[in-house]
Amino acid sequence: MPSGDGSTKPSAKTSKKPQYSRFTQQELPACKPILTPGLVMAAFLILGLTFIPIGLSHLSASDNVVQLIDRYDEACIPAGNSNPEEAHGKRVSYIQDDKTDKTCTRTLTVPKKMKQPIFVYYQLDEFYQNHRRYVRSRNDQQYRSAGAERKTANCDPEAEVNGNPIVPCGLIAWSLFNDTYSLSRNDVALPINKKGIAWESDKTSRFGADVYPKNFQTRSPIGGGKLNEKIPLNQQEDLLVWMRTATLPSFRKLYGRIETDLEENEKIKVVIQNNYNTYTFSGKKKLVISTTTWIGGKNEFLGKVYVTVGGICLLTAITYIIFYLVRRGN
Amino acid sequence: MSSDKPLLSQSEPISAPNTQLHNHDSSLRICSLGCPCHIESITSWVADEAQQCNLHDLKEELEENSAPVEDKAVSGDLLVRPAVKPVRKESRSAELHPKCPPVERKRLVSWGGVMDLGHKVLEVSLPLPRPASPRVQDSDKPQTSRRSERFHQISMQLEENIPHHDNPRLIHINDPKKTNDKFEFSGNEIRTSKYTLLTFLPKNLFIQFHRFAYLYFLAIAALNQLPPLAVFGRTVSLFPLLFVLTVTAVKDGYEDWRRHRSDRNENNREALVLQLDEFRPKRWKDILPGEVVKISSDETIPCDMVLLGTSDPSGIAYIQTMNLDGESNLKTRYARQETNKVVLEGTAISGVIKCEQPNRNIYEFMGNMELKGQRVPLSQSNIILRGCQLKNTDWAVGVVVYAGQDTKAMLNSAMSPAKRSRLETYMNRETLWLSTFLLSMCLVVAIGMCLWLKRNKTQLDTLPYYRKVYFQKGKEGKNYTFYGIPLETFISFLSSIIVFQIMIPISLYITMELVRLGQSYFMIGDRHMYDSSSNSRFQCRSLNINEDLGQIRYVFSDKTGTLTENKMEFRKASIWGKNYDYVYSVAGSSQYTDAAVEDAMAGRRKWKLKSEITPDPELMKLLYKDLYGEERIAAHDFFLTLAACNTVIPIVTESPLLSGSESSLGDSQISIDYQGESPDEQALVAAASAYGYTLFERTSGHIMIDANGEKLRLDVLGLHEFDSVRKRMSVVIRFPDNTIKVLVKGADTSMFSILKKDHPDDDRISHATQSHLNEYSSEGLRTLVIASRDLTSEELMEWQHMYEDASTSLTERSIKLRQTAALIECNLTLLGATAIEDKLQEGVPEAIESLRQAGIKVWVLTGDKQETAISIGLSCRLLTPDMHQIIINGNSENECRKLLCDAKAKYLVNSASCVEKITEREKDELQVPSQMKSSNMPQHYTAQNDVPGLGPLALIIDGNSLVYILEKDLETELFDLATSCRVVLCCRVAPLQKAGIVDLIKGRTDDMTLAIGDGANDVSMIQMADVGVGICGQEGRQAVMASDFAMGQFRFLKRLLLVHGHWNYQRIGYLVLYNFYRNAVFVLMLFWYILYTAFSTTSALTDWSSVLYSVVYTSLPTIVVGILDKDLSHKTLLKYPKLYAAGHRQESYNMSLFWITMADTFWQSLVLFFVPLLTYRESTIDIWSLGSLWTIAVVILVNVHLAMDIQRWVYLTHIAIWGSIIVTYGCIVVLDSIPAFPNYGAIYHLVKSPVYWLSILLITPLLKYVQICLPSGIQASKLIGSRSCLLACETRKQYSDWQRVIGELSRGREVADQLRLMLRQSPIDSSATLVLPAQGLVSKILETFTHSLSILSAAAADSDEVSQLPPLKSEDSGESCKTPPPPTKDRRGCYKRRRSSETRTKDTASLFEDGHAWRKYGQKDILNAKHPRNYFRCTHKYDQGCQATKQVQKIEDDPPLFRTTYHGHHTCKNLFNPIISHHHINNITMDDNDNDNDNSPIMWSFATTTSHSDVSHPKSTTTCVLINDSSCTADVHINNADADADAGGVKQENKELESQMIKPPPSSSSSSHDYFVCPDDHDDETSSLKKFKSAPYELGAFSPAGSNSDVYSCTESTHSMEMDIISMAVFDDFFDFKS
Repeated sequence: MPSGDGSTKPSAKTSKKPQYSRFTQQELPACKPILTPGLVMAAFLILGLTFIPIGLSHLSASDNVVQLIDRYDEACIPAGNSNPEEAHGKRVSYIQDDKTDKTCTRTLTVPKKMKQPIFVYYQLDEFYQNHRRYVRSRNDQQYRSAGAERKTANCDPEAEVNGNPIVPCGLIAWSLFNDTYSLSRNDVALPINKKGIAWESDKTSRFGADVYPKNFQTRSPIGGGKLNEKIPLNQQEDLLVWMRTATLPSFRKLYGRIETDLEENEKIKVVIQNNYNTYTFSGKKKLVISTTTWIGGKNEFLGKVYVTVGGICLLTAITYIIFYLVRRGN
Repeated sequence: MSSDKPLLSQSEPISAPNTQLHNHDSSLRICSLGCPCHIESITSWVADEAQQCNLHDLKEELEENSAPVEDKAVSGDLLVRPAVKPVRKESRSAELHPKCPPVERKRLVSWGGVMDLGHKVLEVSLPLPRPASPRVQDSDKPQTSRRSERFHQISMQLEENIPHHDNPRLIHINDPKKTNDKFEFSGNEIRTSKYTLLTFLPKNLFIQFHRFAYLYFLAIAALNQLPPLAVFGRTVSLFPLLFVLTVTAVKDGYEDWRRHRSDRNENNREALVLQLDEFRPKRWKDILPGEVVKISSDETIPCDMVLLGTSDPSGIAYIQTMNLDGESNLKTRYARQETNKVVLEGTAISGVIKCEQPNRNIYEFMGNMELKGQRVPLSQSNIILRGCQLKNTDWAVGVVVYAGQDTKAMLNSAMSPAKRSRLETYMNRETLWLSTFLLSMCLVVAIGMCLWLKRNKTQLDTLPYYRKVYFQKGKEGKNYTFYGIPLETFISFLSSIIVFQIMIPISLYITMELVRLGQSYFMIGDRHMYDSSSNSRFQCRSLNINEDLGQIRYVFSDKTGTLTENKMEFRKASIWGKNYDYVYSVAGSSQYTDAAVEDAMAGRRKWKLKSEITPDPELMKLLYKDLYGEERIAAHDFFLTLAACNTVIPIVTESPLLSGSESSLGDSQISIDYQGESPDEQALVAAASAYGYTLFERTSGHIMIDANGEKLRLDVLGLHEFDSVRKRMSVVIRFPDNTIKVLVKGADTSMFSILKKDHPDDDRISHATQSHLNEYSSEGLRTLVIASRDLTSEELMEWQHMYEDASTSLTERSIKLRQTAALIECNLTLLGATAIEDKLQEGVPEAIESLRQAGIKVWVLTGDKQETAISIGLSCRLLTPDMHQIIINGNSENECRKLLCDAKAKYLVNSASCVEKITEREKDELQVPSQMKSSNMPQHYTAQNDVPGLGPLALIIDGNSLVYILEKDLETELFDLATSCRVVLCCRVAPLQKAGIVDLIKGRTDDMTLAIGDGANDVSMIQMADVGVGICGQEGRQAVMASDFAMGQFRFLKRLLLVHGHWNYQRIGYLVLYNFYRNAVFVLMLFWYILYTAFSTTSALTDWSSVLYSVVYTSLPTIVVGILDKDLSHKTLLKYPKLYAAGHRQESYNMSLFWITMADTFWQSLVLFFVPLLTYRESTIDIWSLGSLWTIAVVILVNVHLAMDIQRWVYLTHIAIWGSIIVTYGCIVVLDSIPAFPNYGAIYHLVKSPVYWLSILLITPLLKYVQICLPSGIQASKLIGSRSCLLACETRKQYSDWQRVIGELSRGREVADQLRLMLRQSPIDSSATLVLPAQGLVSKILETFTHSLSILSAAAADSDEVSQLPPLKSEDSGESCKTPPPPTKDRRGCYKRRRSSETRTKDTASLFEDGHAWRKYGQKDILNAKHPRNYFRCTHKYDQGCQATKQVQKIEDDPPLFRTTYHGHHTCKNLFNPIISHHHINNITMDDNDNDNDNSPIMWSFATTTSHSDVSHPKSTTTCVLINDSSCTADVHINNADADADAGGVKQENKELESQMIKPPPSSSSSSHDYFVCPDDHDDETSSLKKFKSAPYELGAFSPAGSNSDVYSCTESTHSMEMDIISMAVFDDFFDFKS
């Protein structure tokens, strides 16, 4: 291929003639993707053949997940046979009453053998942790270092009590989830390991080891859980988990891990301290006990889509090939 | 005194009350518009003709005014040179007006009115001979006391007039201090830069915020600063604005820095300024008004100055105004006699100049000078302007009146008004839609918010995620950022606007700007648009309308300097009935001219001309003979007439001889420069000089001619100028021997009637001349007839009496002069005729043809007269002989109306009836998808139609008629008629009329218009049109300054429009749509999420990601693609001009595409949002992680979307697209690594999860699958559009191809006949003189064959191509991807069978060359044969895949007989192998002379290619053309008429090819088989050859693979639909990228 003829021109300096280069002449070696039938068929075939296995393995992984879901918010505060509004009122007044014992016992049956680690989640529905007012109501600077406890910007209306800053400030911390679960199997307590449920990065960098809760939940209304003022924030893993605000109004958060296997049909007794008030806004509370696989929790959606897309691709490819052969035959 | 005259005529109307103005109002208007102002090129008689015609009535009325001038004419001063100049002024002043800004304009117009009037009067005096030399005037002075009285009176009036003009400017000569005591005048420092270091920031920001888009940005950023609305972080929200502002500021700063630099250079130049009674150098910037400056020859004038004196005693200075108005000829300026004397004496001048305030009218100046109590009027002829150059004058001294920014040059350098591209206008319409979407989305959010608040009203106080009430002390019970539901709703509305702000793609504006910058870079750098003759590149002066180039429907072209070179060249002459049309060859004339002629030529060498003409040797011989014999005398007179009968002024400069070789002549060499108003006359005089009749001196009373060394002094007794009635010009000359002759030249129509007809010889000559004239004019040459007559003394007496009487007459002078002329212009002896070529610029006809094929209408607007316009129209193939010419030249409104109506009635231009008559093929063309049809579509198609049965129409209209038509309601009629004609030629149009015509089209259609011109008279049209293109030609910079694009040659327009225009349009169109898509997909994604957050305008994405999305993550690929992507290669685009129609149909950007894109966007955003959402439903994922997933997904999605739409991948595209994705990841990682952000660490957790990757993986193919299967409307519409276009193209082409083939072949026949004749006439042994002409003839024959061959083969290839197209199946374009073509096997290796079927055997007596390069590859003995059989194959078997073989065997010994058996055909590319053709040319002559065998067959083998179509349908046809002759047999085997598809290319390149025949073919050694690499034409010199070669080469390469599915199947694309339309295009493009 000829190239750079122009550069050999002696008068290049005086002449304004544009210097030749493949770039300036828009003659760069180019590649033009031309989708030939063969290529398209191959592409679809490959797409189909890779997607279907992915989808199937995803589906089987999802199928292997064993999970127990128990919605306990209504069950724990029976409202009798009253109409919904009345029941709502009853429950709200029940939950807002500090004096009452809020212990509630539930019995769950393990449907399949569950191998450890088994994760215990709580799930809240209709709780807009992604509301703009809520999401912004925090101050990471305060959480990170002890010297910044006065930095309560964005934390209103839970910034200070009588002029003293609340640590940790903000609505998110204020509304800390405070139901507790204790599990027992055949009256033998099943220990729930609550260590290591928060992200390591949160513990090391985002929350300070020298920041201790102050003035937290000292004033009504109490939004949720209280914090042990002796333990620095980065050790309060429940808080750390809670502070990672969820994407959607219904979300799960990790409560802890059970580090023993559960057998099929075993009855598990769960003693719930039903403290958290979701009743005012009709939020639901669920306890989820689940195993995980490589895809995480149970979710068939991705697998189904993969199989569907793969199937369609394969079908298209086959249709193409048939058409192609028919045409060729003619 | 001479300078008084303009004042005289100007002052007359000024002093007159306004009523006079009204009286002449109507006629004046005619003048201003009807006067052809295109002066540079047209001959003086054209100008005069026009004036006389237009001003006739006016003239009579105002005759009186010019009476004093007439007196002077008696003196016999016949110089007319300055006479025409005022016309120029008038035209210029007229065209300057539209450029003025409103304020300026107002004033100018009021002035202009008066000035115009002045000029009208001035023009009246024009036809009079006017003394040019003040010397003559001086001598006149005493005799004209009456006149001077009158002058005085008039100048008084003028003086009175000046104070009327409020606040005149006072300049004290040589007293700058006093002049500037009030500091009101600016110094001479110029500043074109906008900013200084200090003002840069505020001023630049101020200018930038003039843009609406930036204000929107600013408003959004400001909104975001309000606490309740703070959606983004405060600094973050400012980022995009700052980014955009910075980029623009840097760009502006750089531009300004360059301006600063050039200003500095300009300001620091030095000039001689009178300081302390001595001229000392001073910097330009320090020069002040009032100072006296001395300019030497060839220096540039630093400011506007009134001339005080020059080196010439009469005060003349010549200046070149190239920089100002672009005219290359010299203009004369005068210093007032009063001052000139003083200056020459060397004493200091003091005085006061009063003049008008600075204005931009470069053709006007008014002022007076007070010298020692005496008032002297000053006018335009006394002022020299900044930027001009002093020429031919040793020095000039002047006083500065305007300096620096006040100079007319600076005032005129204002930027042309900013134009806005059509696409951008449409884009704004869609932006409006986007705003509607935006607002409705915001409304949804607001309403949702409102409802949600209402529902949760009771709980808002305590709702953990809302908490609107404080419970702390002091603030208890107070609301926390809650302002009540209505206000909250409104706030939510506002904040959603902030969140969705990029729905309106603000970044698009800056992206477009950058893309256009890049496109301009490539346009400027295009070597195909570089003009080597003027050393000028393409220039983009406007950066806003690149894409408009792709949608041009009308091209309005100037003629002179644009289509033609504005170089008149004497081409041919017919003298005494004999035609001299020697076409000089490269070999030079020396060998054909004998010694005598040499001498003669040496004689004329004494005079060195600017332009050399190679004279006809035969004619030179004739001229060298003694002055004896009718023919010789006629020739003598002929050239005398050429030299004498004109108004050209020779400017003689002596220079010492450069080399000793010519010292034999003994004297120094004198170079002559002919200055004349008319290039025609200059050409004729130059021609006369070339033949030894050199005009070297002209004074008022005599001329001096050097006739072959003999110096003749001829007294000029009288001169009848050219006028439109007589159409001729004559001079009465007294020879030294006292014989008196009338020398006449004129148009043939007016000349033949006044020839003498008493001699039978005359008849013969006149017939011969007439036939020559026809021949010349059919070639598009301008012709003039030359005649002469001897005058007897009686006749002379009579004439002199009448002439004197007529020229002093006060009334009806022109009629009297005409009568006088008629007295002597009769009984003329015809001497001959001349033919002058107004040289067309290179490539003009081809360019026009291509533009026409592209559906662009080319209108020519010229100041030339009708005949010239038509002849140029013919020569540049605008007009074709089969066209019906509608000529409109009416002199009144009614006449015009009648002519228009007649034409309409005759050619039934009625859109309704036209539509009915659309033939079948046009219907094909109409099959564009319905959504494509814009309002202008039907009109376009009627316009394309030729009236059935009548052939195409051409409208020729003259400026005079346009005056009536453009101002009256006839406009509509004209528009209807004009749009239904294929060609419109407007002749004799004034600059403003040009603009008027452009406006006519612009105002009545939506079509884009482009105006192209080179002169100052085109400025108005260039500014009026949507796109203005300036030609950097000889007429200087005026047009270029006003233009949007400037280039060196007209032919670049083809490339500019067809290639760059197409690309730019397609790129920008896509860019806009993609930007809409890109931003909308993002915004919709945010919107869906907001529905999940209780309408609280939360964004899952981090602030930075949202901001960086359009600035960093996705911006670069769009820019790169917008600059670099090409849908089709430039070769394809040039080959199929019809593809340009894509722009006409608005294929790349239209409403439906927008809606399709939006629908696509909607769907994509749904997938994009919901796949991750559903995947992570009810999981522990936090908002930032999912946000980061969405971020990366949307970035990948839009980049892949872009990637799928890219037509051509180059490495930059790869870098940009994949680089962007990587950069996005990088940014996300960085952002997630900063602990201060809440999203800290998210990405590290995400990447560990396979589901994350799976969902990203899923999103893209899921969407792309849909895109592949259901090709979007973009491709569907493109598909249908180009298919129909191609079909229409083909059917038309076929017909014309056949015509062309027939034409070519018959031409070949003619030439062959000539050859036969020639060979017969001369005996075989005759001289070598035959060789050259014979060679020429042979090459002509060859040429015709090659032409017809290539046409045929192109046609065949094309028709194949069409038939290969899969049937069009309505709009279901999905069809084509389901119907792949029947696969055909690669048949390589199977050619043996094919070969056997194509065997030819030839028995010859001797071994002969058949014109092919053979390579022997074997030899074997055959049973029962004495001699071995030799096997040959084509040399190009491997490099070009040529499969031809032959076997040669001697079958008899005595006489020897060889049998040659050919197998297969040559597919190698030696159709035009120069070696072959030369070889055969030699053969002819050799055969004739040496061989006994007269009938030896010579075979020219034009092997082309085998068919590249299916094997089952062999298209091979063998055509044999035999030219039998006694001595020459041309046996032309056209083996296969299926080769090169580029008929147009062949035709165009032929010229170059011929000249390059000598060159060896470029050796290309490629050994690939399936895909061939065509050499790109990088080098201009060999490009044409290579290009040509490459065409058959490609196909040759393909022929073995002709049935190869690999390549063929490429054409059946499923995704890039457009590709399968033009299989050829694919081939081309395929090569392109494979290389």
